[in-house]
Amino acid sequence: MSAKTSFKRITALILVLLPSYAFSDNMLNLDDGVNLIAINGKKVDSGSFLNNRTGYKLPNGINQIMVNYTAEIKKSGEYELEHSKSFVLLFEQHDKNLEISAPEIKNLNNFKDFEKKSNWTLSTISGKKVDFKAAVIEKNGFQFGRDYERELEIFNNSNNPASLPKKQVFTPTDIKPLDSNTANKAEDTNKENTPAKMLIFWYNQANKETRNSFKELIKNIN
Amino acid sequence: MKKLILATAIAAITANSAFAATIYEDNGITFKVKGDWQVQLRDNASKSKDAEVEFDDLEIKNSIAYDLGNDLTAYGQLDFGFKNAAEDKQSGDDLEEAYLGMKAHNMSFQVGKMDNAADDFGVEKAIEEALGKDIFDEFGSIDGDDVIRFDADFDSARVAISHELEADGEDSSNNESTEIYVEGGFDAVTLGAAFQTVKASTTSPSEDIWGVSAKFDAGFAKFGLDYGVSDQGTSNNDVAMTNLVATFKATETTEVSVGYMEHDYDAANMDEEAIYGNVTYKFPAQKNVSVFAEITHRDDDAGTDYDLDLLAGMRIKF
Repeated sequence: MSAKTSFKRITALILVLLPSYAFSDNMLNLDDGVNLIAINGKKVDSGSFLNNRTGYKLPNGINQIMVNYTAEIKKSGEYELEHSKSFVLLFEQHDKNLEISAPEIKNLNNFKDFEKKSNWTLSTISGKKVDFKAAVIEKNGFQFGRDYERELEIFNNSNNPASLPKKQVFTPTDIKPLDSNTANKAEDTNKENTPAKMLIFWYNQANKETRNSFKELIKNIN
Repeated sequence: MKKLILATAIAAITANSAFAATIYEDNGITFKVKGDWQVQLRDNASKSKDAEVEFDDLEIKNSIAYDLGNDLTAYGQLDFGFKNAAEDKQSGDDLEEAYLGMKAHNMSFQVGKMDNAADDFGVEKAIEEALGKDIFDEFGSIDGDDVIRFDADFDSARVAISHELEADGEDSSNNESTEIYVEGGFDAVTLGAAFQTVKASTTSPSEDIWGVSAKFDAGFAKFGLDYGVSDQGTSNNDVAMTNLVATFKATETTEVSVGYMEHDYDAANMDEEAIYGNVTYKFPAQKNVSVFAEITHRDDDAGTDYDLDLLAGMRIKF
C-alpha cells in the first residue's frame, strides 16, 4: 500500500468520524494536472498568488463542472505540456468530499484515448465511484479569448445528457384540460379573445428564463 | 526583436487560458505555439568565473498538425532557440528543430533536424548538469541535422529508433549515428535501455554506447537510476556514467530532487562526481510558472579546486 493510498484512507477515516452536520455542501478536490474551469456555468477563481487552491465547494444536488487536464509528455526527447479538450461532467451528490482525477497518461495515444473515452475518475474520498455524464466542449477556430460561460450557456440549452437540467417555471400540471363549455362561452361573449391578449401581455412581461420555460411547456403539450 | 515581441504578446494572451498552447483548431487543423523560457542567476563551480545571468531553454516552438482521416496525421515542428543570442554568443536565433512527419495509430515517422532516440534515455533531474545529462548526452550524440526517426507507443512499452545520415559533402555533414531506445513498465516500475553507435566524423572510428535505466514510483517519492558505458573509440579509455536521483513533493506545489552523478574512466586520475539538490516551486494559480534554486558540489580525482555551483531562477513553460 503506497503512502498516498494510506494518506487517503486516513483522511477518509477522519471524515467518516466527523459529525455529519459538519457538511452543508460537497467539496471537490482536484488531482494533479486537473484544471477546473467552471462550476454550474460560472467560471471559477483559479486561486491566489500563494494559496494552493485545489478544493472547491459545490452545492448539494445536481452539479455541472467544466474541467481539462494538463500533462507533461515526452515527445521526440523533450518534455512538452499538452492540454486536453474541455470536458463537462454532470453528477448529483449530497454532503460528499469528492475527488476528480484523470487516468495515467504517458504518451499522446493515452491522451487521445482519454479524450475519446472521457474516462475521468470521480469518487468520494473513501474511494466510492460517483456516476456522471460527460461531454466534450470544443470551439472551432482561434482558441484564445474563449468565453467559457457563453459556451456553457449554449451547451446547457442543448439536449445533451451532460447539460444542466433546465429550471422549469411551469410544470405540465399547470395546464388544465380544455372545458368545452367555458371555451364556447368565451368565444361567444368575448369577441376580442381576452385570454389570447392576456397570454401575449404576460409573455411580454416575462424574463428570458420564464419565456423559455413557457415555450418548453407549450412544446410538450399533447 | 520582432519575434521576441510576438512571443511576449502570445504569452500575455494565453496566460489565463487553459488552452495556453493551442492557437487555432478547426477542420482537422491544429496550430500550437509552445514556449520554454528559463532565466537564472548562477555562480558556477569555476573559481575564475563570476556570477552571471544565464538563459536556458529560451525557445519558441511552432507546431502544426493536419488530420488526414483514417487515424492518419501529418505534422511538423519548427523550434527557435534564443539562448545563445541572449548570452551574446551569436546574433539571431538557433533553429533547434525542423521536421515533418506522419503519424498513424500508435506509430510515427519523422524526418529533419531533431533530437534522436538516445535523447529519450536518462533519469537525471538537475537544472544544470555539471557532468552532462547521461552517457549519451555527455559522450555520444543526442540530436542531428539529417535525422530519420521512428517511434512506436504501446500500452506498456515504447520503442524509438533513429539514424542520422553522414551527409558527406553537404553543408549539414557532421557525425553519423544510429540509436535505439526501448522503454517498458509495470506497476510502479519503468525500465529503459538504449544503444548508440556513433562516428564523430567521416574519418573517426565508431564508438558504441549503451545504457540501462530504472525508475520506481514509491508513492511518497520517485527514485531513478541510470548506468551507461561508452567505449570511446580506439582511445582505450572506456568511461561509465552513473546517475542516481530521488524526487519527492514537499508540498502540493513544491518538488525537491537530490541526485548523484559520476564519470568512471578506465584511466587513472580522471574520475569525477557531482552531488546536487534542487527545489522547484510552481505557482498554484498558474502551474506553468515556477521558481527554482539548486546547489551542486563537484569533485574529481585530479584535485581540481571547485566552488559550490549555486543558481536560482524562474521558468515559464506553455
